Amino acid sequence: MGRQYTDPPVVEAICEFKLARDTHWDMTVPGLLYERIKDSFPQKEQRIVQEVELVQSPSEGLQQQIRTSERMLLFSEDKKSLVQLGPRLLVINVLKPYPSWKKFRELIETAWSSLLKVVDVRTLDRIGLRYINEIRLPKKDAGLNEYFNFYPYIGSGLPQTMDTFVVRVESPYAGGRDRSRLQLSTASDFRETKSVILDIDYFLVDQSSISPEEALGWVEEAHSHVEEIFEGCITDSLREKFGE
Amino acid sequence: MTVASTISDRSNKLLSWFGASSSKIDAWEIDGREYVPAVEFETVAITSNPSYNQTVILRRTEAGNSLFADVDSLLKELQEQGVKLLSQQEIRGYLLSFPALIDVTRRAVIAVLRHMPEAQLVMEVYHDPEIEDSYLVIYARLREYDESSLERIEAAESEYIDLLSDKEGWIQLSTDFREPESA
Repeated sequence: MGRQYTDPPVVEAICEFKLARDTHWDMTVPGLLYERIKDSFPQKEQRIVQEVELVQSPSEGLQQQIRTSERMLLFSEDKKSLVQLGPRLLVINVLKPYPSWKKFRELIETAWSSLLKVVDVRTLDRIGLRYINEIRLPKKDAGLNEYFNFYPYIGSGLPQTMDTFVVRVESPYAGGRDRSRLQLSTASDFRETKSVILDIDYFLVDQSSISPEEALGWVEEAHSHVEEIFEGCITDSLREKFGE
Repeated sequence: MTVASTISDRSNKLLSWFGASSSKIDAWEIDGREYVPAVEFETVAITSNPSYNQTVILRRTEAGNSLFADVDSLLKELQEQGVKLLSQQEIRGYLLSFPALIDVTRRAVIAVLRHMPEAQLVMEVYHDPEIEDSYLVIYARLREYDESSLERIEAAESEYIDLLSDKEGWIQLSTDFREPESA
C-alpha cells in the first residue's frame, strides 16, 4: 500500500488495453459492451479520430492515406470517469478528483471483464497504466530541485530561466517485459501558474508474455511500480503540499 | 554500413516523409505484422529489422487515449496560433467535460483564421447568467469593423457548426467589438 494523500495531483489516470489483430472485432462490440457497463457509464459521446498512414512498398512506392474512425466514449453520470472504445482498443480513464486506486481498479475490472464476455480476446498488443499529475509549484521562484528528484539539470553556464521544458526517461522493468516512460514538462499555462506535468506511463513491451486472463494481475503490479516511480520523483516539500 | 544504421536511415527517410517526430508514431507495421511503438520508434525498427523489399507502414492517430493530454496539446497549439486564452483552467475543465469538442475547437479556430487572418482571437468559457448554462466563446477582435466583419464571422461559423449538431456542449463564434490587445 503506497502513501495516501488528501489532495493528490492526479488529473487523469488511464488504463489501456490494445488487442492484437488475431482478435476478431466488429462494429457490434461497442454496443454489446455498452449494454454490460451502462449502469456505471450511461452517457455516450463519440469522437472522430483521424489516422494518417504512410505506406512504403516495393511495388507501389510511397503512399499516404488519411482515414477517419469513430471512437465511442462512455461517461459516468458525473463525467469524472469514462471508457473509450475503438477498434481493438479499450481505455478506462478517471479524471480529477482521483477517486483512489481501489475505485479505479474496480472500474478497470468491470470494463475488462465485460469485454472478455463479448469478445474472444486472443493476444494483447499493449497494456498500459498511465498517471498524469499536474503540480502547481508552491513557490514561483523556487528551483525545481526543491520539489523534484527528477528535473532538467541546467549547468551554471546557461540561462537559469525557462519558458518551457520537457525531460523524459524510459527504463526497463520486470526483466525487460515492461517499460516506464517518465516525463516532466511545463503545462500550457506554465508562465502564469508555474504548473508542471509529471506524466508516468508504465506499459507492457513483451506482447506475448501476458495472457488476457493475466491482464488484471499485470495492472496491479504496474500500479505498484507507478507508485514507486511517483514517490521517487518528488521531495517532502511536495508530499507536504499534497497533504500526506 | 551496419544493419542498424541502414534501418535507421530508412526510418529517418520515412519519418521525414511523414513529417513527424518518432514520438508521434502510433504503429509500425512490416509485411502485415504490427509493432506497437510502446518502445521508442528506432528500437522497434531495429528489433523488427525491415528490409527494403518489405512493405512498411507508419501510422499516426490524431487523438490520444488521454483526454487531459489532448486538451493540453490543443491549448498549446492555440497559443502558438496566437489565440488568447482567458482562464485556461476553465477552458480545460470545459473541454474535459465535453471532449468531443476538442477536435471541433481546433477546426473552428482554423476556420476563423482562414476567414479573418488579421483577427486576434480570444477564447473563454461564458457562463449564461440567466440560465444554468456555459459554453466556449471565441471572440474575433479586429482593428476596424465594417459590414463584412459579421459576414466573415458567419462564414467561418458555417464551416464547423454542423459538427456540433450531435454533440454536447457548444462553441460560439462572436465578436465583442474590442480592439486587439497588444502582445
